[in-house]
Amino acid sequence: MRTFDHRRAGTVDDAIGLASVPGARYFAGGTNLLDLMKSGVENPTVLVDVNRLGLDAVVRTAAGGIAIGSGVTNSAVANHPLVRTDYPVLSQAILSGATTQIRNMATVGGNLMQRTRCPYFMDPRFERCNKRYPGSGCAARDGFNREHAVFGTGGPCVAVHPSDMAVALAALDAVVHIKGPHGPRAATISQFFSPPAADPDRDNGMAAADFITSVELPAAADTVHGWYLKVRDRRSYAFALVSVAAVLRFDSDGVVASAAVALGGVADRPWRVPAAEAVLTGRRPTPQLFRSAADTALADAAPLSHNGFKLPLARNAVMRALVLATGR
Amino acid sequence: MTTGRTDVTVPPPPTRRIELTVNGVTRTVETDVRSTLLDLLRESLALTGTKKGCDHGLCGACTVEVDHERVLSCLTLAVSIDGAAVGTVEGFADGEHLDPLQQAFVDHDGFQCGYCTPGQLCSARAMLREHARGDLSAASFDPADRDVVDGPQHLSENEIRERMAGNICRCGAYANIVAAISAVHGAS
Amino acid sequence: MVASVGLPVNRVEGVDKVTGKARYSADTQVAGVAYAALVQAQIPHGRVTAESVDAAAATASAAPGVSYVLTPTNCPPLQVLPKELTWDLPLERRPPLSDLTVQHMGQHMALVVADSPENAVHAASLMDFDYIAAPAHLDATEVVSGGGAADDVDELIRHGAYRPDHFVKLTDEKLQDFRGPRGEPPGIKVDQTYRTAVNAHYPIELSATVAQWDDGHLTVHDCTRWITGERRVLAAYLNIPEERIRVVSPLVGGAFGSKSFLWMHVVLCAVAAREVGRPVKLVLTRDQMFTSTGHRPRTEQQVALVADAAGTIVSTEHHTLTETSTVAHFCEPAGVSSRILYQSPRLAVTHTVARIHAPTPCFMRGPGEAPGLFALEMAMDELAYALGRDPLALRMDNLADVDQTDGRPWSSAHLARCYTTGARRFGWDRRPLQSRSLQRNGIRVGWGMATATYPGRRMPAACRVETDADGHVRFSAATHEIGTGVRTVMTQLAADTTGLPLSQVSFESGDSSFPDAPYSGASQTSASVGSAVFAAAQEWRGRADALPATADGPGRAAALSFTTASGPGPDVDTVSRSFGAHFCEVEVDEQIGRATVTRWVAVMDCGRVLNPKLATNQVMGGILFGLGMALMEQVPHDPHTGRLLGEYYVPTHADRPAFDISFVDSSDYGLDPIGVRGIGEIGVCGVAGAIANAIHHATGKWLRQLPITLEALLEPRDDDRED
Repeated sequence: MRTFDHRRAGTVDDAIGLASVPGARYFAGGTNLLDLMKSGVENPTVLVDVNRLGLDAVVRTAAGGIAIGSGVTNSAVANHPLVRTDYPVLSQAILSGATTQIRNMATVGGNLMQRTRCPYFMDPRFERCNKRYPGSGCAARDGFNREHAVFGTGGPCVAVHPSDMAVALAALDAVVHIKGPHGPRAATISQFFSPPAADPDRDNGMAAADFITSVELPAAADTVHGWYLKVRDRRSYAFALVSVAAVLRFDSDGVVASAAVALGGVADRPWRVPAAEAVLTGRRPTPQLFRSAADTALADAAPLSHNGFKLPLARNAVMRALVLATGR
Repeated sequence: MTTGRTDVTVPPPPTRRIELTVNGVTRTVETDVRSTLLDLLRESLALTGTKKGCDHGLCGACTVEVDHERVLSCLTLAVSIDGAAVGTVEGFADGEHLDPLQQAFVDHDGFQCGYCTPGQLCSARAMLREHARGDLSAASFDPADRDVVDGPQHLSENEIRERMAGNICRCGAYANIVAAISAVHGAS
Repeated sequence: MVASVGLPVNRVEGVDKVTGKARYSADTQVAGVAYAALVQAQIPHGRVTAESVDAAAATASAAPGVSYVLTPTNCPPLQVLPKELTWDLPLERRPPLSDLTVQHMGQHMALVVADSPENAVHAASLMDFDYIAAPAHLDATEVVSGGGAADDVDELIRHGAYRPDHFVKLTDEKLQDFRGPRGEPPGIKVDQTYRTAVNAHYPIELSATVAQWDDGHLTVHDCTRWITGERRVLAAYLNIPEERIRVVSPLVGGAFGSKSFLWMHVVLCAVAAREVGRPVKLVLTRDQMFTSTGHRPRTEQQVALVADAAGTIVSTEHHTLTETSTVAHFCEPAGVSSRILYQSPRLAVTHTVARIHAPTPCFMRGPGEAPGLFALEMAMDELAYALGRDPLALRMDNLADVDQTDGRPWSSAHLARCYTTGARRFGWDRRPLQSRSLQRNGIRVGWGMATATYPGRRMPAACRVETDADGHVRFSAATHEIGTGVRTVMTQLAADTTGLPLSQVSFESGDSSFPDAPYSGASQTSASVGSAVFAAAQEWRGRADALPATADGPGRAAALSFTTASGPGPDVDTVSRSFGAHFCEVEVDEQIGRATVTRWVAVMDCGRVLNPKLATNQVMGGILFGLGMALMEQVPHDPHTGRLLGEYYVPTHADRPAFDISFVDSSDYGLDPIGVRGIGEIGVCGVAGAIANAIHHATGKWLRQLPITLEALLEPRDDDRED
């Protein structure tokens, strides 16, 4: 690991100022960044430590939703009474990720900013990696790509975003509040994960020194049926091959009033499937309906050489998640 | 690819003086800024109870407590936790008196080679505290068993296993580890 | 006085292990220690240029805190190991850093020594070599089908494929074996190919060495499970007398077959310590563990079983293709169990080993048995289904009363009892034969079983006894506490045999200054070291009884301190072998490709059980090892470069079944005077087969490649389904 300067920020503006130099990185839990520094993938010259900025509260908003400080640990979010009561799918998603030790360290901001687990990206000895070196090629495309994307695979990078939390946030229509050198702004999850141009070396729409201050969730409907289903190679402590966050709201006749379905493990971002949601809306929940929605969700998938199995897997996972969400 | 440096004079990596209260004793350490808490404990403080199993957050052997929460010391940057309280396995026993978890591990044979054991113990102790304050796990959402709002009153075996899943035991003493934890949990 | 053997005595080092006082090699406190980091090759075959090596070394030397950089161009010459010293074990005769060629990914290319771990690792990361890649043989099939001509480069680097005669030095364990008629008789036949992946031992303890010189004497703290061998080989490499080397390994954090031989990094650590004049500590990274301390190589096994209409096996063929490196010999002996397990008048067993540009493999828990019984036990189930018979009944009908390779009977064998007890405890009689007939909450359920077997082995060992003036008796041998509980059971054995209470007896291990013992492996420690301890304890009892009552403390202590040795075991007309039966339930959720092993019944016949608590833990660990092998373990790698990728999954707390483990506990005195046969490995034997058989019972699919993946389990299309 190369040496670096470690600076502790006292306020958000402090942090942004410190981070406005080339080679600076925000440092929160460190569970991803420190790991990548050990491997030589990340070589920051300055670590701007944001652990003691006091952004560690979960509060009710005026709109009846909640605001989660970016410094709140994953564990604290998952266990917070407001989250458990109003957004249990978020709690479940977070608790499906990593391990308790890691969740105790990792923050909300860091979870969104974490980088892909593509093994070619994570090992700098692989020279062909468009995310580390734009234009160098993609070793995963014709290599071992079992764990890679099935959506958006026509581009220069086919890696997936590994966050479970983000998938639930996508299904919950979360908004990310950001402060940068040019002032504050807000982004939906979809906007957050969209870099300005199709530059694979950018994971998201964050400019240098942009800082996540909080994540806001809208007011939860009264009866919200949600489920987070994660499928992986062992029972726990593994990233998703495919995951699904399903959130359904039923009207008093038992008809689906609204549906939100987001997939994880299939793209460089949580993958909302509005066409599938449209299939569900206004209909009664039946196995046939869920199958139709699942088929629609995967209709545009374009798998790679080693991950075709993700299509039937994701289709079945969507159906299963919808059943479990309904039964909740 | 990283290229080699050609400077003749290379400034030494900066070190920082930090203060940590380890097992109740305040220690001042001059540490390399790159040092993890794990390496600091083992190499600077000669507290070798905490083990390195992978150094990349994949095995849980390095689990300790920082400010009374269980974390991975291999992914904890020491300078980042300046001023914190750190709890390691060496702080469990009271002189010759073993902590009930330690005794339970011995009685239930909750180890074979013993290398993952300090991490299992630090994790288990914290886990029991987490449950006591109502924390959930992914197992709390199992379709048959959903105590999401209040949290499960009693820790089932399934719950213990999920909550301990971040501590790998290659020797495979898992069943005995859970038996030891269950025994202590049941007795409390 | 109550005997302690047979009781669930707590581990004697248990308190140390739960308090953090237990010391493993990396915990060794040595004043003035320097830290080392390895640099490893990034291509599977080729060479590096001397110029780039020197340039990289210069770069690293200029990095902060670096005191020394060891490379192929400046490494002091190490001796080539004499052939007889390899004991037919996977020891590399070609010394490390002795030439500029690269024979496998991960080959050691340099060692950096610095004043801190961070500085050592950083300096190592700066070393860039110019690699000139050469075509690499990465596939055994390609080598065998003529891709590589067999050759020897100074007998140190070899290519091509070969057929070894027997397994290591065990001439009886033939790897090419034939009996009975030439031609295969007619009958109901199963002929399939089974494949197992590269598996890593993955002990949680990273290999660690601390080497220290003092006036020409070398002390090595290393997590080795073969102190005697390591000392001998180090002496040979360094060309110094053995007496000048001390190897210390009091506790090993898991071995499972690795950590036993001298892996190259240990001698490099010793060389570096000599060059810098300071103690040097080297801890391998987890990535380096995949290429530096051995692994279980890939196998491809063709098994053909023929039975007559009554279900009696008339022919067994088991042909294995496996791999080793170009620099050492190792053959995964997958077919060895097929020679003896089920009666079969006709037998053909062969092993072909292809030399590929991959790291040297080595023993891994149940070498041969683990992958071989997967294949054989699946084939037995396939045969049962071809015959329309219950898989358990087929096995019971084909038990062999004798070792068919030489006609000798078993010294003690209770496999039938393992089967019947296990079946009863599991509820096997409620198993419908038809696959896809059990389900629970919409998820498929399958019940499978398999046979376990492992030879009883024993090697010579010695034991020292030291009696203190206060009456405490210390037994010691250069064996190793790797988690098997040897220190505890030896203490129990010594206490019972001397007639002393446990508190008055101790057993020490882990130091070359103790009498020689064999490597802790092959499930042989209880029989080997146990025999020496038993002999020593009997000697102690005899001497104590013969002492006059007036003997004073120091005089008594001197009279009761001595060393004894025991041999390789009696030359008898019987064969000692352990057997067992595994029964398991697996749920298969075909919609999401998830297999869950829910419950496991194992009944083991391992001879006498010295400590049921420790023995149960060992068997449980073995079953988990097999579960990982069956369902998740493989070393993922990039198909183009062979480079390791991603994470190696081993079972977590959440992956295991509920266990019901019991022992027949019938003493077998055919191997040793204690009645034991060893339990370290039998737990893993047959496990993968039982799981695959249960998955077949659940799904109707024969999944003949390990690990069984999510993809393989996902609900198939109707036209893809095989039955």
